[in-house]
Amino acid sequence: MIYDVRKLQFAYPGGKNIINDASFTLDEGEILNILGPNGAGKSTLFNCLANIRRPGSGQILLNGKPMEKMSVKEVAKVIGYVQQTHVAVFDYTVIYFVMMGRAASVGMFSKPKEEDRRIAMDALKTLGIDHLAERPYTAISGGERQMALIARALTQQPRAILLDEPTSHLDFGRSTLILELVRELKSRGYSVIMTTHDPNHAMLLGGKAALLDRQGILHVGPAEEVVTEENLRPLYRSELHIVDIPQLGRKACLSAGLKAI
Amino acid sequence: MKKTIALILALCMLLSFASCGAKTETAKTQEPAKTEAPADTKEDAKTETPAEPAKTEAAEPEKTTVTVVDSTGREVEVPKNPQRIVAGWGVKNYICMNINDLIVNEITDKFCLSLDPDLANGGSIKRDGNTTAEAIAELDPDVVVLKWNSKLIPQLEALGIPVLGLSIEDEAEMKHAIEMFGLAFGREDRAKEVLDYYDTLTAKAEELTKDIPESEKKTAIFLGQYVGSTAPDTTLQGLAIEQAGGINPAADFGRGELWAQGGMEKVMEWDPEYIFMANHLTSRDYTLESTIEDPANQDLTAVKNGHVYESPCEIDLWMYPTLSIKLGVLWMIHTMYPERLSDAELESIVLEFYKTIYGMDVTREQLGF
Amino acid sequence: MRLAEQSLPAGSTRAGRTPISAWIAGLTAALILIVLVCLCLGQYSMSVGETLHIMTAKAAGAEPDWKPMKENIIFFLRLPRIISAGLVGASLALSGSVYQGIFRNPLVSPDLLGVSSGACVGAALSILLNWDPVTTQFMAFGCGLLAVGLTLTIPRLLGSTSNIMLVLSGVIVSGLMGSFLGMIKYVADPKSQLQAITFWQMGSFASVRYPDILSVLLPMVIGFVVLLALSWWIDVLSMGETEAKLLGANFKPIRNAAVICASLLTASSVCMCGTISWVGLVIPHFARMLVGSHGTRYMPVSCLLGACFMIIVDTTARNISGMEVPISILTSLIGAPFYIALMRRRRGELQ
Repeated sequence: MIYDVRKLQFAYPGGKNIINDASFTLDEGEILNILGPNGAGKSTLFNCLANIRRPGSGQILLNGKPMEKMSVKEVAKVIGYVQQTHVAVFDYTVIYFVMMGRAASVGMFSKPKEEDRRIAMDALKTLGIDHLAERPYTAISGGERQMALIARALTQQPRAILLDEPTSHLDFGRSTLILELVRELKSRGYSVIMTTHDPNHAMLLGGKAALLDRQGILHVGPAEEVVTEENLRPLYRSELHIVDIPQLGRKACLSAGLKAI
Repeated sequence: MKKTIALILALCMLLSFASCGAKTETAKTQEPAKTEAPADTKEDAKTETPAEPAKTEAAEPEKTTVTVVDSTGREVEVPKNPQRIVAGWGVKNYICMNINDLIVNEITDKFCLSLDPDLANGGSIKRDGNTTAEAIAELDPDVVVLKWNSKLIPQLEALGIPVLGLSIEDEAEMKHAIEMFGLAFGREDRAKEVLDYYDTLTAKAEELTKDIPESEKKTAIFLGQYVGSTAPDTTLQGLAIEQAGGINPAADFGRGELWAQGGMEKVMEWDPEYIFMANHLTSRDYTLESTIEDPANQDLTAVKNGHVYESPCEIDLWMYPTLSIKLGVLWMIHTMYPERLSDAELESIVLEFYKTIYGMDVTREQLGF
Repeated sequence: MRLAEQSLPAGSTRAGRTPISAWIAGLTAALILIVLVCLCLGQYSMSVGETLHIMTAKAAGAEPDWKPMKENIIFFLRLPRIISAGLVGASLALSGSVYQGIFRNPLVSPDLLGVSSGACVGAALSILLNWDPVTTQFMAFGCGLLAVGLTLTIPRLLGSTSNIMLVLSGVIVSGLMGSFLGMIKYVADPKSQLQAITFWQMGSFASVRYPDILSVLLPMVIGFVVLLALSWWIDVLSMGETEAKLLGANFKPIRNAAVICASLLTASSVCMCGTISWVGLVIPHFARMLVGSHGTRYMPVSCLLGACFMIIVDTTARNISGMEVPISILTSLIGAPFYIALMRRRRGELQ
């Protein structure tokens, strides 16, 4: 088991619980989509899972070890984190940027070695951007940057990949490509946790889905069971419909046209 | 939240420093008055310390006064034969005027105190560490001596107290000051005595050096505040070299500047036979020892022959615009031309100087030259 | 799996870069050449030929056929100056590079956390109290480090040691030091002390001798060795605290170690020759322009460029006119327009 999350609780100082008693497990090759409205605590939960925040109470076991007892290096060898956006200050080359993923394995006063460079190149190849290796990171497109971020996460050689709303800045075509990539990662044995605004992603990817409702309760289960109209309507406060589309062989989550305000 | 606290903290610190600076300034913000205010104006718009109406209006009955010109050219009406003098600045320059008993304020200058320890018993002219007009006025002086650019001058004038502004940057100003004090303090005879004696020293120096042939003149430079800086002949120290019968190779280098920063290589190019440095420049970035021991300087003629000197002395400054400057010149003559002015002769002149000018019996050890 | 995409046109690609070893070798050669040339330049009239003859003959252990004064000038006056100028230039450039990386801001200089202003206060205090020049050097070094210590402590007291707190703290401490300096200048004797303080601030290598260099050699060596060894890690840190930690970097310990070492370098430099501005800001940019932004490449290059630059500036300062020109004036005159030119080139990137 890669992730064993037990009774997570989180509240901002002076506020009520945003996350109440959240628990789930995630194995290799499993995917978890976290859905939820803005401001419900989806990002906070995600940050707890990524070791960016400490939960108020509860425990996260990473590969069997309690995460709060692990050093940043140890955590980085298990979790590869892909953020939504990245602000580039310096124009490192893509390969140099991706090689930073080896930080957990590089000694205190050293630099990455040939072996590290090879791992980084392999990651670039996996994502099909190895031709950009010597380009400055600031001179590639948004989609290619997203690829580079994922490549960097892969370079850490982690067990789990965490993606924070990976499609939010991408166009329709690229979004689909990213989802295909995520599924590929899953099939290669990574545990994948993804936050998303769009219930369709959860339905396309399958696996597990989790809803964080406005009371802070986490509903986890197989995607087909969790992503239902009864669950989603109060969550998004919207008259949405889950529709079966035979021509495409899939279900979709759609709104029924626009209402007058 | 923490960021807000930090920002507020930063602003508070900035404001507190600004206000700190502001407080010490308000006591002194005053445009110097061009003319004296007549005795009955008590208005003092900008000073924090309120004027003391009762004391300042101690209506001076019409005294006989003397018109004196101070160092800045101001004409000041000073009461004849003043009995109460506040020596607010530069007292060392006029303690020779035999006015010890007339000084009413506390003197802290070590040299003056060594002459007359009683001077420490005067009244204080400071409040919270700063000299103030009010404190001076409380001592009820007949005349006050302050630095020429003191901001207290207009304040005191507004209180009807005559102030002499003093500046001693060169020999001319020094002589003028002695004359001024002679007139102001009712010590004209004494002033003449001092200046005459001073002139005899000048004459002595001239006499000793006037017939030194050019070819036998020694080259000498005066080092300035920083390593490799020298004194041109527009400075007191540079001039002293010539008055002592030496040749100053740095005479026209950087004329007009206080110290000419030419660098040690220039000094080495000139390679003078004598190197002098002034002991009153306490903020030098070198010392006598460091100059002599510096490996770079080992081939300098002056260093090789042991002719590197720091001007004396322990209790007085001999290379500074005071009456003692002539001692400095004579000392340099003795140093460069010992056959023309022997050690014993120099000693007797020096001891006579302190006796005549300051009434002081000092020993050579006390002076330290 | 290939994702066919349109990329933006390649900017300055630096693909097929010259290996960094070539740059370092080239710059080292340039440095040696500059040192030799500058040894031959000075106010004392000695021809270049004569200077070279003395140097080579001395190296060969030949009998001197020249005045000892000339030898002294070359080896005891010019050489220590050149060596210290090189060390200071390299130190400031490296410190600047490190700070620009850690604080993710190409516009910061080594004075960010208050070392220079603290050192000024130390030196000014020593001058005010009429202490000797050796003590002044020691006071400058000590107070510079104290100031940085204060900068590192204030965020701890406020409960947040993030980068922005550190920068804010640096601003506060620099301001505090500035106030102290103002107070010291106010009470200083205008006849000699005030001038001495101002002169010290403006920077000069005129009084540097071997003992001065030796006394700061250890902190400088520590600073150079540690920072150059950390050069890759500085780049990881430039990703920002959160991201660096996610990649597995111990952000705070590395940052604090880098700050301390950069402060050692800056304090050592300032106590040898006063405050010198612009070098720590401009040289890293120049180095990045030449070899790219990778710390492992541009930080060593920064050091060498800084050394070359500072030696040239100091030699100019002591030769361009009869009088010695204070160093800061020259670095400002050269640095500011150069910075403007840099800004113009990078206009596109900044937008």
